Amino acid sequence: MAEDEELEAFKQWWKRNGQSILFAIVIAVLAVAGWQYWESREANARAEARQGFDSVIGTLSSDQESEERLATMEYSLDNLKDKYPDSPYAVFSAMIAAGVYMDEGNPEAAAGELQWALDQAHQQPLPRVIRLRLARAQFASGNYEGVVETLQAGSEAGEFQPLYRELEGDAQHAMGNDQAARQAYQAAREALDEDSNDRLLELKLSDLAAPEAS
Amino acid sequence: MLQNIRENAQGTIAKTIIVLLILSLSVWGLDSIVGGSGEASVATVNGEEITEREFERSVRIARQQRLQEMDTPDSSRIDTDQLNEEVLDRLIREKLIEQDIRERGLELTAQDIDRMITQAEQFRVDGAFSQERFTRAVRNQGMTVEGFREMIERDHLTRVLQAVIQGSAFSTETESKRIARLLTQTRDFDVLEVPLSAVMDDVTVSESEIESFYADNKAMFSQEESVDVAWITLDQAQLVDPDSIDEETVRARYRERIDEMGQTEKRNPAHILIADDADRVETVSNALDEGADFGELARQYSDDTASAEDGGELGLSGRNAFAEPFSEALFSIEEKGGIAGPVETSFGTHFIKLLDTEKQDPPSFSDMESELRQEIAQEQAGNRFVELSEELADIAYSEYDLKAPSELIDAEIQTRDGVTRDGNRAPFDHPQLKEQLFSEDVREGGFNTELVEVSQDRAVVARVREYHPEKQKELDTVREQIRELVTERKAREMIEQRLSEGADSESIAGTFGVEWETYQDVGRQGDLGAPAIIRDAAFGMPRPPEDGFSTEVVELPDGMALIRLTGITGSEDNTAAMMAENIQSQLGQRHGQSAYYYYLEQLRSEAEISRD
Repeated sequence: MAEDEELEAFKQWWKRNGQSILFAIVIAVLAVAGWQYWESREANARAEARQGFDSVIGTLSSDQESEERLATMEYSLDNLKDKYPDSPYAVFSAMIAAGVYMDEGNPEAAAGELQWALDQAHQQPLPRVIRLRLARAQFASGNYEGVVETLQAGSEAGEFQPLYRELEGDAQHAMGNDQAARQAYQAAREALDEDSNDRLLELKLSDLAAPEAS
Repeated sequence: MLQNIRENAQGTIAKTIIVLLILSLSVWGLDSIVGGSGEASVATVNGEEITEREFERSVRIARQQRLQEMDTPDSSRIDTDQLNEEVLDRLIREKLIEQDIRERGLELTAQDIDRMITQAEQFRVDGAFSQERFTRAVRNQGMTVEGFREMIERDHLTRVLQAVIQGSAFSTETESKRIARLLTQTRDFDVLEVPLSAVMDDVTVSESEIESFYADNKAMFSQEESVDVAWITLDQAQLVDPDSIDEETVRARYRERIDEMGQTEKRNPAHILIADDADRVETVSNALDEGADFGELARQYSDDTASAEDGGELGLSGRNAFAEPFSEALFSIEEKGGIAGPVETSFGTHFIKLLDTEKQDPPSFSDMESELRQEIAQEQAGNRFVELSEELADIAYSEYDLKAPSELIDAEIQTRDGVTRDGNRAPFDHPQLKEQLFSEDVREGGFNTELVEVSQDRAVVARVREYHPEKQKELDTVREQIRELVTERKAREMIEQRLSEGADSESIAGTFGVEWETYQDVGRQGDLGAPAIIRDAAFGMPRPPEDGFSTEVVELPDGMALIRLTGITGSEDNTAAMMAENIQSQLGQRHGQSAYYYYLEQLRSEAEISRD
């Protein structure tokens, strides 16, 4: 008897709530399916971006003529930048390409790639690495003002301080501002760990005149 | 519980919870609800734990690597604290990179990881991937397959990140040329060396200066803790006297050796080979019985055409040169000219004639006796060493002096005073032995040390006769030493002050009664024209003004020197240009390495890291 009553009670309950429960389940299932679909699309996009990166890397070791190689690399790179500009692999590829352009004696093109990478990369510490390189590419093309500007723009140098200030010193020296160079080198020296001694930095410092007595 | 839920099931909240529970179970499995590992951890990096298990596994692997790098593996020579520290540092670094990689959205697909595993050489058997070998290798490392796959992904992505940051770095021609010019420049300078003796007469040291020096430098005058020790050595080399081995044993060994040498006898056979022809075997056999010439028969009948031309002769050879039945037959022929056969081998049927024998007379017993005695003594000593080690370890543990242990191994008790924690002669340079000597039980409790194997064939038991704790030396015992130190310091200060004040003065040399030394065109590296201290200092000095000089005072072992840097000359352009090319690629690598180094430093400085 009790079982009948219970069954009856359940039927009553189901009548009142059955529809909304089914509805909730359908919604939830759709949500999960949608999320998984989106997730797999994202994963595909990430995998494709990586393939793009692999093909950029691949051109480094290919035995094509340098002009042809460069063209292949540019094609893969542009494709990647176009389709997946937010992918870390696009940023990596631009960095690699910048290195290749430097080898080809084209610092302007290198700076272009690095500027693009800098605009795309958001998560530190990568932007600090790229900013330093952008400045170095500018240094190579003789744009010394630009070097100082690049190195001083953006957030502070963080742990990269020794590298930033050394390059700034190089640029100041190249512009003939030996006192500014000395200051930058000394700032680099101060930012180094206590027990480390950067021989090249000391080398550069020892070629500059002593600070003018103030 | 179910009853309760059903009763409250009308509530929308309860319904939602049930739906979510069911969904999360089906989508993410039980872990998502239960969660939490509850394992002990050694450090936390940005909220993620490095578990104790992970840490210990890594320490174990690192320890094995250390041992493998040693010529004679000895785990007591590994500094455990330092090893732990290094391993933890590395794990923290790996964790930081792992988090960085994850936040950047770098990942591999399951197929990528499959491919890496199936292509790895170490999981292959006969050129094909072996699931069994893979599973076993993973287990041996104390990992799960899932954990191993994660490790592969992490390692691979770390390498990618590092390769990108390091490998895409570059250097500029301007910088490399500048470095090359700096490295090859030469400098001109004048040096005024002033010996300490030049001012000694002017230096006085008061008692109060000595006292305050003593008070300020207590650490300099502390007597290191030390122990006076007694010890015995179990030395394998002295366990068995070669002359004490009885002659019968030595003779037995001699006979064995001579027998072995007999095996090296060489014989020169001729043979006739008949590959597969019973009739021909018969013919040859009969001909030989009738006394026909062996060489003629070989030429006529042998299937071994190469030797047949030479009458079947094969040349002088040892036992191992032939198939077993052949050499058996050959070496059982008793005298030259004797014939054996037919003998079957895999080649066919042979008839063999012994043409010649070459045998060296074996060395006599007296020639070999001392060598054999040494050899037997060494073998016996090895066994004896193991036995005695065990007995000695036991007795050293149970006794409170070295008397019984020394009698056991018949060794003299040696003594040495003033053994400190570092810098001793053997055997007290052995870390484990030292550690035991200075342990409380041995140092103050009067116990013997354990038996410590200080090398493969020596073991030592030691004890402390007297312990001298670290103590301060009395001022009276070091007064003269301090007087010398203070005198020298004051003399240096006095010279330095006078040199600095008169650095630009024409007459500065005269005031000390010394002469200027002039150095011209000195190179930065390996130029023997100037003393190294002075050269290095001169190359660290700033560029002098036009028609002037920059100055610096440096310390020499026995005096002070004033350096006047008068000129810097850049090298010929082509010398520097040649160097610059090399330098540019090195500089590029250097920029890459430091970029990656500071990348890690940046991650570290921004992370919340706690070590438990």
